[in-house]
Amino acid sequence: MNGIMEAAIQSLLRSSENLKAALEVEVTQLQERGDLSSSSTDDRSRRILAVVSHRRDYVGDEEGSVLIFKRTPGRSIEDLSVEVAYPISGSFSFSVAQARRKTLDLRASGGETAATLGQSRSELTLTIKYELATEIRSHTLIARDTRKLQSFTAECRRLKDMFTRHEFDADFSWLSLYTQESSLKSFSSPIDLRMVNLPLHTRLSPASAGLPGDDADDISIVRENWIYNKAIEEAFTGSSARLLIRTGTFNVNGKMPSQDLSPWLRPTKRNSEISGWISPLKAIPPLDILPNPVDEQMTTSLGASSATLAHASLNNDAKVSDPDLLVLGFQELDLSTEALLYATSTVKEDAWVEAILAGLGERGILYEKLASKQLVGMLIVAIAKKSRLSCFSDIRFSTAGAGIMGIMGNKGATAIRMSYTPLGQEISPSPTVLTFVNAHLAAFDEMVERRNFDFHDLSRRLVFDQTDEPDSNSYANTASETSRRPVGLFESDVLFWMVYLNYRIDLADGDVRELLTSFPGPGNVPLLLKYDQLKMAIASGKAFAEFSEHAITHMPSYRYASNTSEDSLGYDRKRKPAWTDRILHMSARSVPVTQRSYCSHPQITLSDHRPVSADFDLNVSIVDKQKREIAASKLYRELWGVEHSSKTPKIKLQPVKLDFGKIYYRRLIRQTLSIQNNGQIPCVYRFVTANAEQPICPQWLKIDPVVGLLRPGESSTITVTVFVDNSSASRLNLLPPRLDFTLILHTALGKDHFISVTGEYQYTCFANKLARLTRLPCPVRSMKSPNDQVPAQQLVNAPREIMRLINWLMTYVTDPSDLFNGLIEESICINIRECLDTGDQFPSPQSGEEHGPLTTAIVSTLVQLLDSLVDPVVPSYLHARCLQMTSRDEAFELLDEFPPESVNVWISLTAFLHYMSLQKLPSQSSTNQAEMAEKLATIFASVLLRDDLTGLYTPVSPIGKQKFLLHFVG
Amino acid sequence: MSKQFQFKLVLLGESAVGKSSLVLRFVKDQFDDYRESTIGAAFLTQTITLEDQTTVKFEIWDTAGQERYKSLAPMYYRNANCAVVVYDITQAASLEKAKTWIRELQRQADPSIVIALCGNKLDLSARRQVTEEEASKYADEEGLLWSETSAKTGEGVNAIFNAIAKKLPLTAPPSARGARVAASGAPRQSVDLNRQSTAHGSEACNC
Repeated sequence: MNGIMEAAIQSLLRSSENLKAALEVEVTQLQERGDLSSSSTDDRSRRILAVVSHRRDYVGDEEGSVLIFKRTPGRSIEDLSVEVAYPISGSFSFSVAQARRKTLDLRASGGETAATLGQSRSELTLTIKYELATEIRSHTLIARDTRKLQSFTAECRRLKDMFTRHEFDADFSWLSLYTQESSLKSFSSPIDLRMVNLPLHTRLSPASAGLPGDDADDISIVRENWIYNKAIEEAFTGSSARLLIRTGTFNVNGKMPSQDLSPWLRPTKRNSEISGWISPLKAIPPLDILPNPVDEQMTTSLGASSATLAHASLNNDAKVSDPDLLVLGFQELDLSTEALLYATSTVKEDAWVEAILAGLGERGILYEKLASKQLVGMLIVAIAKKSRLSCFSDIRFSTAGAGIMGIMGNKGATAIRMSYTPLGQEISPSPTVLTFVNAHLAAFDEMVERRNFDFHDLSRRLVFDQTDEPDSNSYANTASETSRRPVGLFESDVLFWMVYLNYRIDLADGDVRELLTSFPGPGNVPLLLKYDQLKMAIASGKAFAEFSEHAITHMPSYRYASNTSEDSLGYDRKRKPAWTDRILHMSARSVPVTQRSYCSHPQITLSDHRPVSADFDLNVSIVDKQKREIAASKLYRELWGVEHSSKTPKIKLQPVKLDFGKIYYRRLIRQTLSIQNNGQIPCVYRFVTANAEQPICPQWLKIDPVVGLLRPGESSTITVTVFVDNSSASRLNLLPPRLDFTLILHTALGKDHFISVTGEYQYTCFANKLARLTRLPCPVRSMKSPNDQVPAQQLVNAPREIMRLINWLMTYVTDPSDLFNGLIEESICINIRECLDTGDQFPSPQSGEEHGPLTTAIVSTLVQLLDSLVDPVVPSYLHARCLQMTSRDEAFELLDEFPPESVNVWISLTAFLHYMSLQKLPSQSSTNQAEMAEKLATIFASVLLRDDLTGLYTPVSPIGKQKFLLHFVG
Repeated sequence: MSKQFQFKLVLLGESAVGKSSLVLRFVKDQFDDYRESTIGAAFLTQTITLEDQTTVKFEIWDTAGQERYKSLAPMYYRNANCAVVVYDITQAASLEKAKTWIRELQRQADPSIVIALCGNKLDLSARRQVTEEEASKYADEEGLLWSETSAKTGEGVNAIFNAIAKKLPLTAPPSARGARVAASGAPRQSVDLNRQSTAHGSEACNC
């Protein structure tokens, strides 16, 4: 008796399953793979055959299945995994023959067969057949242990009889645990990044109160996600490895290397130093980094804007190390016509690789080419530190054309995929998959749709299907069939796109050049980027959705002229400057990626493009590969079958009522709920909406997480956050102040739980229509009802709140540069907002004391208040007209067409700005009065003539807006 | 082969009249003296077999009785085939509340909904405030099923659900349950994957 084998199998089964018989067999031939012959009796051909029965808890019927287990090569017999599982149903049949090929049909007569088997000491072949609708699967196995084979066949017959008698009730759903066992392998390779980063709740079935969706399906989605993350967490060793990657993209315009490439290749010390521009932080006026009310997020409202954080991260890494890996993408390597048809020569590639190694200077000897792939004009080269070469394995390539007919290689992409495994670990770590794409998308401004299409097309067609080089690393054994299957581009842990993507700036040529020239250095870059086609495509999700791109602080990398046709900045007069060369990335949450630099290199002038580089710092958690697989398998078994349980999930929520008290505009309040699984089975919960047309909670409320899984006894915390932004406030300002909402937490296959959220909304003057503000009878906070208003004949000329801010500034500000000095202190801003809403006095500036922070806070509150207005001060329908005004007189005439409340605000504001621009500037100031007027116009024009976001009116040029405002200010 | 049907049933009524207890008695034949009030809506199923071997599976939504959750009730009674509106025979006010629910159902629920009025806590009949005559007269006028029950002793509980089952339109063709494909993974008890498709009067179809 081989007790170890039986025990090993039983340990893989759940308590509802029983091992009936098991025996060792050898594979002679598998339907899928004909390469194994019976002559090789090594571990690879050994299998264990078992018959297992399942008894349902509430009905007496028994169901059976034949499982074939595979042994892990080189491991003990206990290390088994399910290869196939067949239900013993009508589709299942088997036959036994003696090795000398005399077939015995066991189905004919049991007694006779038993006798035959008993006599034989020789090998027997067992054939198992399973008929599917489209094909017949069959396995021929050699068995030596006739006694065990006998009990195996007897059990199969008995269970097949059982099936015939209870056919109608047959279910076999319990088997999916074992058939999915093989798919468990996928828990250790990366999941599609687009999927893994997608909020989990968006993948679940639609559900609302009283109408749950497909709970069983939702359970399996949540469970798989949970197991994937939990297995990583359990197998995490606590340490991590740092991997420095430098990426670059360069459209060489058919040129050969003729310059030192070192600025592009060597680690960037300081963004500004290298790119030759003044530090962008100094050039950006503080008001420009106010949270943009349009896309304001909770994070930006909580402190520094993302822009400032980004700049900080660029500069804080004083000590720059050599990258471990350099991946460079070249485009338009070869512009010759022959190259479009067939690329055979590697002359150009060799020349560039040589130039790269030379560009690395004395560090060049530390590096070696790891891999490269060329498709006509596109070349991707990976160069690694020699000491790290062995970290990179399973290198695969892919190319896809997107040019003429979608196949010729003048446009398209080449990509490299590799596994990174940190060295020097006691355990064998789970590899991290890195994928790099070098792409060249369709040209010309108006081809934006084509480019978006190209991106999706390439994303789909870039597939890695085979290893080009023999796999010499230690993973060769385990990287068997599963890792050789074709993998998609997004099945990575980190994905980089280095692209010449030809996305342009949607502004007139003159405006682009003027904006680039007007401020010293790249000061207008953030403004220009608002019109960048790639940024717009990302924002709208049309292409590169969910990709991250670091804040751009460098000048457009295209198109520089090499002759006399250049403008003052060196750009070609015939082509609108653009950021056509970009580096984007996307990563799984489990692999944190920090970008250390993002810049262009104007010193390298050999092409009409300037090369762009980006440094990345990967913090790779070291996860024990084997432990992770074991954990996934164990968790899978533990959580499997919840949807089939006769028990109902039970949870306890504490508290069930959340009172947020007073809720103020733009003041975040957070409360938590505890949720505990006090039932006997794992529980999947999700928040659902009351009504299919509504979101799960109003805009002013956020819940995190929206979906979860708890094992029995486990508990966790749900955070409920209240934050009233402009869009919420504009609605809440018109409703009764009592807020009351019931959240519905649905437990899959169980109860709906209600959580009431209440609060008292505090009316604000922010986020209203100008016309409403002029008719408020009293400070907004003292209003009894949102409908209170004074009769039309009593309305004020301009909203009191705006006038109060302007009057304060007119009274106290003597030096206009005070308006922009100093940081915006949120606490002072909150105080000022509160004074506006209640009618209280502003904090008065102490004489002799520095009132800079107060001034900055007042002016930024003014900008915020104007920006929060439901409609901009100048209505969108007038923007195009404003830009047509060529003189001061014309501009003043147009005021007649403004709505009355807008005219008054406009006149007061421009009077103030004009007054400011006339103030005597301190002698040490480098700015003159005209510059000051321009600066003020830049800030206020974009707010007063805010772009329409409904899509009803086309946004007008920011330069034009400034000019219109300057008619009044200058 | 026997016929099988599936219906959505919703329980409504004032807080603390014993809706959850009634369901617990019907589904699990259990009773708790101290139950926390339902904050939400519990989902349970129970199948009963009628004399002619027809089986009726109830998908029961037991709703919260508290006034503050009243606005969510329509989410639970939409698409319901039947409703049990419960009052407490020892609380006269609870019958008034029940009448409000009935009016709301008659106005807003599916017109073919079968409504049963159920006077619970029969075990406390010594403290009775609502007479049988009063309630049954009202039920007759409104065309409702009516019965008194005790979730505590179990008296009348199965009877009222049986009465509802008989009144439901059991005319749809028998289910195709037998034709279910092996290994399709459809579970049978207390769970149904196709709950959403339960339109009014639909017959059970587990496949």
